[in-house]
This record gives sequence, C-alpha cells and structure tokens, in this order.
Amino acid sequence: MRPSVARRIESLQIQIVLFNNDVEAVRRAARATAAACRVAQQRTSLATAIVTFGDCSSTPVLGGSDWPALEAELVAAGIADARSTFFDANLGSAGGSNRLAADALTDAILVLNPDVFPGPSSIARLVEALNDSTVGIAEGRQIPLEHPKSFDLTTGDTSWASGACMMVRTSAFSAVGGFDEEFFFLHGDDVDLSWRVRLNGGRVVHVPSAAFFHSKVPDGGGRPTTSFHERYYQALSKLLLARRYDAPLVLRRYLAAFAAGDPPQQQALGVYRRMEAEGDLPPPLPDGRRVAQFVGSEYAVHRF
Amino acid sequence: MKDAEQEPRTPGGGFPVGGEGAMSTRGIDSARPALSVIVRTRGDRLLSLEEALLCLCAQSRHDFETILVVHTESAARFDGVERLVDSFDDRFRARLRTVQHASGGRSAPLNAGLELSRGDYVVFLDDDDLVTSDWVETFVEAAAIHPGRALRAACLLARVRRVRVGEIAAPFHRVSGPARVYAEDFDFLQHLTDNQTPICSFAVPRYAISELGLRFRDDLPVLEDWHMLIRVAQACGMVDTHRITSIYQYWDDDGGSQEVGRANWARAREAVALDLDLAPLHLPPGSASRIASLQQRALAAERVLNSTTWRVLGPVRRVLDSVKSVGRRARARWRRRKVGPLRRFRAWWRRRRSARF
Repeated sequence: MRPSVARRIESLQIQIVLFNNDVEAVRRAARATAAACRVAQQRTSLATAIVTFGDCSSTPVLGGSDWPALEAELVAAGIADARSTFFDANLGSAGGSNRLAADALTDAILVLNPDVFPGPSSIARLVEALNDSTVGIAEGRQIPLEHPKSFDLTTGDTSWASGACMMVRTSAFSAVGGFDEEFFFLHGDDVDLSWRVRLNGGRVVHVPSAAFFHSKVPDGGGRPTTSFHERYYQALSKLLLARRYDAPLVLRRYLAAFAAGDPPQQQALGVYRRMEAEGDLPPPLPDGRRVAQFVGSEYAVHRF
Repeated sequence: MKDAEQEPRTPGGGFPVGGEGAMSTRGIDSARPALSVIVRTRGDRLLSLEEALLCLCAQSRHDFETILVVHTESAARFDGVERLVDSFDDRFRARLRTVQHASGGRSAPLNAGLELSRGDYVVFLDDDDLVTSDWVETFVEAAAIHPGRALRAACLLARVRRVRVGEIAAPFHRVSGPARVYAEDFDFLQHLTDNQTPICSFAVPRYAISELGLRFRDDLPVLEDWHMLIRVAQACGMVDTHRITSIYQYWDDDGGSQEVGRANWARAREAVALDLDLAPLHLPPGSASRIASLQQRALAAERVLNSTTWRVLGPVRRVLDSVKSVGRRARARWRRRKVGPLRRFRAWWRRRRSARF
C-alpha cells in the first residue's frame, strides 16, 4: 500500500521525551532546536513549529518556574506553541513518543532525544528531504559519534532511522500505528517503526548534511558507552525484531549467543522465554523479510 | 627555577620552567573566562564549520569564550561565516567573536586568536574536527587540579571523505570508525620525533602566552601545532587527563593539511628540528636513562647495518621493498575507487547473507 499524495511540510511538531534529565541541558538543547526551526522557516516550506515535552520522570524535570521560563524563551524564539506534559509514569521512549504524537496535527513529527542539539540548518535539511513525497522518514547524522550504518550515496536510502533525530511524516506515522510501545520499551522501537513504514511503501532516508549533536561518552574504542539497562533492552529488542520480521535462523543465533552472553543478554533471554511460554510474542509480519536486515548483530550493513 | 625535587613529576610530561609567576593567575581577574577556544577557518567549508560550532554550542560548561578567526581576504567568505554564526542561538553567539584575518600563513589565524584571547587556558579547534560535550569541562577540571600545567586529553582518529548524496554535499563521510591511534600518555621524547597530540587535544595555560610569549610559527606550512606543543610542554609540563574528548578527522581524499604535499611536510619537520636545536632542551625526569638506552639500541642497529650479512642481503631487501611498494600503491588506488567489482560482490554477499533468515 503506497502512501497518499503527500503535501509539503509546512508544520512540524518537535517532541522530546524526558527522563531525569538535567534541566539546564534540556534548556540548551531546546534553544538550539528553536534556532534551527527559525532557519528552517526562513529557508524551506516550514511555516509553523511546535515543541512539546513529555516527562516520564518520577518528579518533573521542568518543574516550578523552569517550564514557564523555557516556554517564554521558546515562544520568543519563534516557536508557535510550546507544551510540557508530566506523565507521572515511565512510559519508555516509544510510549512517551506515541502519547505526544497522538495530539499532533502537524504535517511532520521530529522525534528528538533530550540530549540532542540540532545544527542550525539541520531541521531545514530534514524538511527538504521529507518534501519528497516518497519519503516517510528522514534521519539526521549524529555527531561526534556517527552511527556506522550504510546508506545509498545517490538516494540516501537506508535500512532504518534512529529515534534520536528522526523526522516522520505524520500520515506515515499514523498509518502504521506509531511506535510499538507494547514490545519495544526503550530500544528497537525506531528500527521497528522504520521497517513498518517501509513495508507500507514509505522510504527511509539518511541526510548526512543534517547534523545533530548527540551527547554520548565514547569508550576506548570510539563507541558510545552503554549502561546495563541499555544493553538489556538492546538484547530484548534483537530477539523481538528477529521474531516479528520472520528471521528464524537469526533468532536461533541470538538465542544461542545470549544463553552464553553477558548478564543483560541473559536477563533479556529470560524475559523472552517467559513471553514465549505465555504466548505474548509478536506474531511474524507477512512480508517482513522484504525490508528487514540482520547483518551480524546489526540491522544494516555498517561502513565501519 | 624551582628545585627539581619540589616540582611535581609528570611522567614523560616535560619539565616546567619558571617560578611562582609561572603558575596560573586565575583568581587575580575573575572576570576572565576559564577557557578561550580559538576556531580557525578559511570560510570555505561552512557545513563542517557549522558542525564544529555545534559541538561548542553543546558543551556542558559555559565559562568559555570562542574566537572564530576567518583566515581569508574574501569579504564574501567572511560574510558567509557571519551568516552562519547568526543562525545559532543568542546565548551561544553572545560568547563568540568572529574576526577576519587576511594575511599570513597557516598559523596567522591562531596567533591572531591568541592576541584576542582572555581565558585562563587556550584551546584550539579546526573547522573539520569534532569534540564531545565535556571537552571544555575536562580541561577546566584538570586546570583546577594542575594549575599552570599544559593539559592533554585523549583524541580519536576517524577517516573521512567528501561525498554528495544526490545534489547535496555532506561535510564528511566517515569511512572508518573513531579509533585510538594516538599515544595514551604524553611522552616528551617520543614527541620529538612524532606528534601524538592533535591540535584539538591540548590546552595551553595563559602565562605561556602572556608571559613566556609563546606563539605559533607562521612560516611553517604544516606541523605548526607540533612545534607549539613541544615548546609548551617544555615550558609548562604536560598533564594527561586520559578522557576522550575529541575526534580528529583525517581526510582520506587528500583534503585538509594532507593537501600540502610531501616535500612541504619534510621541510616543516626539518625546520622544527632546527628550531629546537637552537636552544637547550629541558627534558623530564627519567630522560637520561631512556636516552642512554636508546643510544645503546642505536649502536646495536648500526653494527647490524655495517655487517657483511646485511650488505649481502641488500638486493633481496630491495626486491621485497619494491613488491611492498607496489602492493601499497595498488591498495591505495583500490581504496580511492568509488565502487569496485569486488566491493560490489562483497556488498551483495552481505545482503544475501542477511536475507538468510
């Protein structure tokens, strides 16, 4: 099923899910976002930008006078509307994003991590990419630790887009039911969304000229450091994606690897087995193999 | 000069000279920023400059100033840089000064930035390098613990190329992951032969600039940072923070300083060596025994090189060198090709393997 003829992107909702973030860091990132929106409004079809925060923390990140001050700053910087919702529950990145997107009336949604700073021209470049009606998702390039997945140098097409900085056409997002918050709490939700958008006929493109600074600490090998929870959710999402996208050989390989793996992987394996016993696994998607890529332990061929 | 026994030892880190006045003067003028960041650009690659400035915009600490020196005679290029700066948010712009510097060689913009800088420490960022969000924080925290010392953070190297995706140029296309190639610890003797500290990974204390008058040599076409580093390490001592805070982007397709040419690199290296020979060299503790050991190894190597066996096997070595050289050139040519049949096959095979669910 192909997406309907798409209009140019004239309105954008930028949505950020918070979880125990430093308020000053959130403010700085928000200022950079507002500046990038201003540039996009000057250079592209974008006319209206809305910024909305969803807070999954146990106590509000933008509490007291923090939110009114930030709201005033964003509006003064040209943001048409700024909102903040305290969920009073940890919905995860997928659940939080879905909740914010449910109210979106804009042409596109920009999903941003709270520790991501758009470059001044980056939102404009994603809007330009999304103005191609065949594109369902346009992804920015993260710096300084760039994601190694490959992309077509002529078209920008790539296997999946990162939820740290992805701009999705709202119609494409709604057509596939948004992120799958039932199965993907923290990781893999972006891969799953990307593949379902592609199954539905939308392209996923990487826009290397759209830089987004993502605050990550490199380890000795130049890769981002990950916590126990991140590795757990990464492992669980690998199992669930292999299951959903009908990759039994890949699934078998993961199950064997995680049985002998580190504690987060073993924990993820235990949870998967429990879900299997209770019949709670996602059913395989028809035609899932058409879009899914399982290359080693990754979801795309990597350049490095 | 302080008694050597009282001076804190920094292993391999250079031996500081100067008395009490050599220590940090912070606290005398608390209005000074903790750090001055000098960004050097010719204004001809605005996309990559945007990314370098974005890294500064995202820093975890704000007690630094940015001096953006545009090394160009062209008013159009300077205007382009100013328009880029205007696209950043107000608060970042308030801590940034953009200046045009039309004359001089490669080091001229750095020296111009030094003249304008006010920070307790000075760091440098080229318009094609990237830093992490704790780059400033790392140097500021280290300065508080080791006032007056030169500071060094760890740097990774990534190979990049220019690329266009459709009609749009991307500033960088990373072809290798950031890797740890530079020495983990600063070794002064090693640095006399080989620079292991990219310009974005060391910080210079204020007094080295204001009181010792250290500046970059403007006649060097390259290696100006190495020359400065040696003198700063000698004068102030060097402390390693061991935190990875920057990525030096090495142009795989002869961009950046690689475009200077082999002959200029060799001349620059000679010029640096000659300059260091003009004055006594202050070496860190432990250097005497290391030099003695190196001397013994050099003598042993010389005996091998003068031996009959070595001379007799000369033709064999020359043949092997030719073979290796041919192989190196072939690999370099292969790397430069956009797509080769073998690469296409390998990419197809990876896709095929990934399809085997």
